[in-house]
Amino acid sequence: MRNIFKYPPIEWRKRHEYTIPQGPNFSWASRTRLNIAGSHLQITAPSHSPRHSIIKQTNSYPGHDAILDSPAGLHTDFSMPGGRWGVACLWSRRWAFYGPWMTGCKGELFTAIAVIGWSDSHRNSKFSFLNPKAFESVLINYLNDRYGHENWEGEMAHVPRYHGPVEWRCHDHLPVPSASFKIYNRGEDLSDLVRPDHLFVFPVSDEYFVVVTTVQDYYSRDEKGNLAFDTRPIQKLQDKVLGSITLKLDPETQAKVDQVKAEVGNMKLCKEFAPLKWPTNIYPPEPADAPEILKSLKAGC
Amino acid sequence: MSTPQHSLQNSSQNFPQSYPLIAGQSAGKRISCVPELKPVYDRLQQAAHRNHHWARIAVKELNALTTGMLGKNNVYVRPGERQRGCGSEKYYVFLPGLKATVVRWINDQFCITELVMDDNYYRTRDRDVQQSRLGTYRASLIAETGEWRAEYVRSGQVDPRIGRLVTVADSNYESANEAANYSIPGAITFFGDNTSTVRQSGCDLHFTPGPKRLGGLFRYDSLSIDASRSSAVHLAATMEAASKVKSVAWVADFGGSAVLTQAMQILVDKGVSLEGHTIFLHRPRTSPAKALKLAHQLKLSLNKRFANTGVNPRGALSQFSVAGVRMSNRSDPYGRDQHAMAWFKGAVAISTPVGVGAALASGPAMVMLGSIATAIGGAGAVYAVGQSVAEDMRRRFKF
Repeated sequence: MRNIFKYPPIEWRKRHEYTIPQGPNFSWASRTRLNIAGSHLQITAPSHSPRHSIIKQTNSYPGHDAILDSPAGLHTDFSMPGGRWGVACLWSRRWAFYGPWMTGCKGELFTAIAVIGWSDSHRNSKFSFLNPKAFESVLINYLNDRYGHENWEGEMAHVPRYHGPVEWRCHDHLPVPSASFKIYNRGEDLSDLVRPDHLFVFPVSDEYFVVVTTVQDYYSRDEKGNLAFDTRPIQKLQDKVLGSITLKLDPETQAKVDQVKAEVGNMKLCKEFAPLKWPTNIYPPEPADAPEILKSLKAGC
Repeated sequence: MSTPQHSLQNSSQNFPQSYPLIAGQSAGKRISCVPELKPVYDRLQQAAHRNHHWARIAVKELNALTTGMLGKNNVYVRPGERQRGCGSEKYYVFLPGLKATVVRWINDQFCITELVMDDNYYRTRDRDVQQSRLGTYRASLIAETGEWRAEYVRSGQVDPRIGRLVTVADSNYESANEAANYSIPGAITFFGDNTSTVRQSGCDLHFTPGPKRLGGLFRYDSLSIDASRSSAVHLAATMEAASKVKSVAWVADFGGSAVLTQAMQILVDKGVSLEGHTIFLHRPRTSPAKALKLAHQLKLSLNKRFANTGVNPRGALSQFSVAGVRMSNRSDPYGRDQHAMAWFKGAVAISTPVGVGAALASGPAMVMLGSIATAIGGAGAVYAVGQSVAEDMRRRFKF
């Protein structure tokens, strides 16, 4: 329980000495239900309390189904190359963690739930996302599009801006295959991996899957640039929020899951997932006049 | 205590004339630095050779001192106190990544006596450098999270697209991401209702790290703020490089107005013009009047509304002080009708707090408060209605 007198949301004495910040109280958290293609996703989380009130939360109307009640389908996300994915953010919250005695905000936790499917022009109904093997390959495509194309430009175009997935873990607490992992922001040097996006992914139907993105922002550092507070309260809240996610499948989808289970046997995603080779778009186009030579060279070796 | 031998060995180094030379070997004024600073300068030069944009700017500007200090009392070279004993003069040079103290000796040579480097540029092994560096960032709205994500641009250039929005953020944010999420929603109001382009294709962000906000009621003159000088040098280089891009919108949010005004001053001093570009100040914390005069000199194409000062009476006054300049400028769309409108709105902005203060002081608060708001708001409303009726008549009867 956060002591509002000792840990007020005020910053009158900015200090960068080691502290243990306090954030929102999880025992007062409320339950939210999101409807996605007939299935119900439930999450328990405290109310939105960002550091800057200008940053708004995202909510879905109660009872509104993200897929069934929007007949035009998801909007294509053009910030990813190719425009292959339709994306809708259904829910997001931000929680600030404060230091004692008006030392201000030390960090923030951000969580967002988005539903993702093929965009209209790339619809592909040949395979089902509920099949773990198919879902793995879909995930590779999606991560390549969301993170893989970003590089450091210019003469550093061969250096990616993101590194991942790392710390891959597959879970079996949901009725569908699910996994969590991290994607790190990568500096110009490989040792410079910071501020990961924690992703938690699972399919909810044949054509849609859910991505839960969680980011921890740290705002307090000492002169040496090291963190000047304990990040465990933030991690604790993150674990509680992510742990509270439950999924109740639509009977139709459940039948499909059972069918896939009968076909495949094992509904788990793979145990290991090596970091993908990024950036995806640095390879220079092959010279147009020499494909034969190249082919012969490749054939030779 | 140094032994005699030691001092003999170093005598050539200690003699000011033989300090390591940085620039002006063959022409111009000689610029040297004290021997202790040579490694620091080498590090800067190394960064410049490795094609770091900010380091190239810094080295170039340091070398530009060879042309002398005459006329260099500008945004990033500030004269310090004169040293009485020897008659040499002190200057402070603010550049991206460093702050230098330069002494001009009596024989008209320059010597760098202090070089304070900003660690944000060097700690590549440390954490989160790519979010805390001064410079240009590409911001895009991530559909999965609904938040803005800022990515550092090594070349420091804006995206060369027509009508690109560049947000100049205030200082006092821990990361560029935070600055983006806080500043862009404000800056985007410049486009009115048409925000979908920016939300789809993103915008650029100029980020200034620092522990405090820039500007404010007591530091309203943007040219007297030290904390934003080095950032302004960087922004000026970005703006100059973007002068070929068409219709770039430079929008300052909050204290970003200090950085933008200083950068415009640098460009005016250099004689650059930014034709076709536009600027807007969203809730500026420094004087919009100064920015407007510079905007006219840069041949920027302005809109009728040039700054949103909100309920800040000082901002409203500052805008009124340049209304005459704007009306007499042919290429400025600000005209008589706009001025009358602004006058009414400004009157509300200025007199409402005054009226409220008076009402609170004199007792029957709520009644008076209501009547003041009505009286002042009423005049503005009547004028606005009159204008719209007149416009409607003009349309209908074509006069």
